[in-house]
Amino acid sequence: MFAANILIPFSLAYIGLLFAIAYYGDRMAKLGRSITSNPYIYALSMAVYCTAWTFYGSVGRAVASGPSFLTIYIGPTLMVALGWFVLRKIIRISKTQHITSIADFIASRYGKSPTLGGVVSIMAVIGIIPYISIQLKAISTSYLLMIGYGEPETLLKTAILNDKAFFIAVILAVFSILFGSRHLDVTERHEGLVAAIAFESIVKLAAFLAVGIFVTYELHAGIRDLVEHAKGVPQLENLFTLPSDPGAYTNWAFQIFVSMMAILFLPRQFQMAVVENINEKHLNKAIWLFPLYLMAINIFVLPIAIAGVLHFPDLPVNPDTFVLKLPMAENKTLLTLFVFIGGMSASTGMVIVATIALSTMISNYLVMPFLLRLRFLQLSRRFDLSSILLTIRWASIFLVVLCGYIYFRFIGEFYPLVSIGLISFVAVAQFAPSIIGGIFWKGATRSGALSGLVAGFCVWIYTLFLPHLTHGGVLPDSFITHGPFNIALLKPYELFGLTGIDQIAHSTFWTMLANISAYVGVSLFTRPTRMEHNQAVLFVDIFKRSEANNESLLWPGTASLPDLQSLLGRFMGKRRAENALKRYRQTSTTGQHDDLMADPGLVSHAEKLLTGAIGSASARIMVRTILKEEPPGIDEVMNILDETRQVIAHSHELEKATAELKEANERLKELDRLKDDFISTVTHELKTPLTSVRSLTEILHDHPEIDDTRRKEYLQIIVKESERLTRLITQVLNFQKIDAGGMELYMSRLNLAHIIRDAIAASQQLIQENNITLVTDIENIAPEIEGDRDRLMQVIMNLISNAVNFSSPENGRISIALQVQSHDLQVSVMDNGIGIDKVGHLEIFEKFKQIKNIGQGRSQGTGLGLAIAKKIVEHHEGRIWVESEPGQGSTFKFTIPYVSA
Amino acid sequence: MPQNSDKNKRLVSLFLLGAVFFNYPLLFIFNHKSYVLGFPILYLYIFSLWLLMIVMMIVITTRRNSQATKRSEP
Repeated sequence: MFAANILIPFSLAYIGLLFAIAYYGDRMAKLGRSITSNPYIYALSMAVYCTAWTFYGSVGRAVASGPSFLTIYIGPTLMVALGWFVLRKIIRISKTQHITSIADFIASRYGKSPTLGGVVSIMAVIGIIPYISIQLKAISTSYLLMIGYGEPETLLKTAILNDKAFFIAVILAVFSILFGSRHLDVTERHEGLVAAIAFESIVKLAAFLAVGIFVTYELHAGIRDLVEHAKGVPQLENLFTLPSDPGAYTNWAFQIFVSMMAILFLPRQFQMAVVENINEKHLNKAIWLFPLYLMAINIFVLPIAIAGVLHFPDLPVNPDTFVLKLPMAENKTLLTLFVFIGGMSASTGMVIVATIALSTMISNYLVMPFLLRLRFLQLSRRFDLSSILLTIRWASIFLVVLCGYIYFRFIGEFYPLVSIGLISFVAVAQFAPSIIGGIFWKGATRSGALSGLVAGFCVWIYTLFLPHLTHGGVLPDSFITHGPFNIALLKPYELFGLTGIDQIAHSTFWTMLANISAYVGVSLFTRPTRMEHNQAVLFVDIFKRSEANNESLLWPGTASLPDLQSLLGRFMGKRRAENALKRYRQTSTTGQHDDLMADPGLVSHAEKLLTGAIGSASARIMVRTILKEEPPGIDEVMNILDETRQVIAHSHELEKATAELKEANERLKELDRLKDDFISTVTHELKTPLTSVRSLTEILHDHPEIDDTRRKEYLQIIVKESERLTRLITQVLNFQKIDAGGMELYMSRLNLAHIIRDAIAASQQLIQENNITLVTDIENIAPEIEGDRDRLMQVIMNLISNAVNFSSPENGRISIALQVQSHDLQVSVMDNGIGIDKVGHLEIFEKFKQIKNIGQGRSQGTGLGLAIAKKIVEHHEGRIWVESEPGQGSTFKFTIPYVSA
Repeated sequence: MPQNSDKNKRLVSLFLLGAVFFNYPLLFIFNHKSYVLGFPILYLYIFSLWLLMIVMMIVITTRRNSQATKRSEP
């Protein structure tokens, strides 16, 4: 037993501590030294999931229905595994779009629709208020237990003002206002609040573990001992197993499903996991920290349940209160107080965050749009709306807490903790199709989302909420037992005769069926508007877009700067608005800012700022009022551009590939043509000597009377022509070999000067025959090179014979030089012939290319000589080229690196 | 984001496996009144599975970091 006059100051002191922590957190955030920016605090703040329902209710539920209490925590464990996939996407979208609540998220996704946001807000408020009420109930019950009031039946007799839960509720509302909506913030992040919630999460876990350890290891000899004692106790018959009927597994699976949805879409979870998330990377650790927390807080549920039943076998003690009653019965004063505080932490954390989340929705989607429509025209332009906005927020916080309290006083009395919580879970699960579908399916439309939400919500009302109110006496019992108007098929718990599963599974099935089929069906039969399409692309492709590209695809229009500034000022306060715009101008690099006009970038930035304060739909409406013009042509174009962007990207790639193919094909064709040219050239070259050989032999054959001198002359020509033939064929074969990459070089140390001399000597006859003057300038002391003697000789002779062929017919002149350069030796062969134009400089080294129209017809080549020479020089790591101008003669040069001594 | 998508796949697979292991029919196998090491078998199964999942999550989420540092080394 505790005296009220100790307990109340004690509770107040604890709440005071929360205030202090929140204040400290806010201060540090303002100083730039965030204490909440780490994954541990993030994971702990997500643990706001564990409410009084967990703290007190798990034990009660375990006693009533065995292991199924675990589903509520297994679901979230599974969901965080998906978290990287789903939650991270939601977080990224919300950050780029300045989204601050679930209503905002859904409204924003489906074209910033105020209607949709309103519907979601109503659903959330109706769905969550019962949940808030059970937290208040837990506070009230635990308080009454502590001061020895006995069982909750007596509660109804206490007057409201005497009910401590009411005061606690008021204090919590004040806390929510102070740390959740003291001022309007564009990001809606509240570090102080997060710090306090994380602290509460530690307290509730520590308290639960403390009582668990006490019960298990002090009152009993461990878990196994407790399990041993539990055997044979009739009340604990069902504790260790699920019922054996098939429906039990269905119930189990559905409960896991709704808890999975709850961990993402309960407004308080969205607030903590998405809106208050400071860094996406924190998810990385939170993914396993959070399930670990859930597991830890569940370990001692079973031992406490067993111990409770063993300790109070006959007394009509509500199992929900075992956690508190066990240490109380053992007269552990401090432990009892700690547990009481732990329970309070669990309840207050939930109430605070849920109220803040709900108040944001109420003010942004239920009150503001209404005010803007009704009174906007009468509101003077200088009127400061930010104070109105804040008042609305504060009022809605009080309203939510008050509703929770009223609900608790009139209806919540009749329920154990867990069943009300699950009703809320099913309600928020209705958001799942619109949100999950919305971030993965671009085709989902506003009408689809609206139909799905409304259908699901109506079925929820019918199958869970109305019967729930019936228990509170709002409707007659026959509504449940016989169905409305005695129509048995419409019994809310057995709709269309569906039995064998519990109410939660039953309702989840019907709501999801209605919700998903309406959502998908209507979406398939409606077309999204431009705005919807724009938002769909932004949401679904969030990871595909670069940071800079994450702006709206729609042309937001331009506005006058003073208009924009005063608009922002009215919602955010003048100074904040000025600062925000100034910051944008400093960081933004795009566009030039003049003092009168706001460019589209600034307009869309302003819309985002406003979205943070009043929600996306209202922000859109407000910004539209000050726009100078709305050019419909451009956004149309932008839209089309976006749709075709991918197609264009693809076709670019295709074009590139096609061009490459075309090029390859051209080259092949060219090579083919050259080959044909080559064959015709070669055959022509072969034919000429062959013809002369044949005709001369025919003459010799047919005219045996030919005199000897003639005969000798003819035979000489035949020999010469055959030699030429052989040479040609050797060269062709040679080239073929080189071209196939099969050139073998027999490398040795050589003196290039000697090779040149040998080559000149071998060509001496040719030079003299053509009456050509030869000048040589060869350095004798040239360093040695590494090379294949015969091949290099071939190159030089080829160059000499070319020079002979092309030098001037009258006073032909060739000069051959060898120079030592810094790394290599350079050989040059110069003639005074007709020269080669620029285009030919590279071409002549290609195979099958010859300089045509040489005039004198002295072209004896195959078009392979230079190509072979080039290959040989390159195999010696040298270079070959020609310097020439038409009419000025040409100089062929090549280099061979020498061996450094 | 090749690393992220690897992690994504691993976590989604973990989710799918978890969803199967935490449900009928596997649950049915352990749903009877027997005791292993003095613990009720269903609870033992659920809690071990739970712990295993958390360990797997730790492995998956930290693995990416070690790979990332390895990649940046050369």
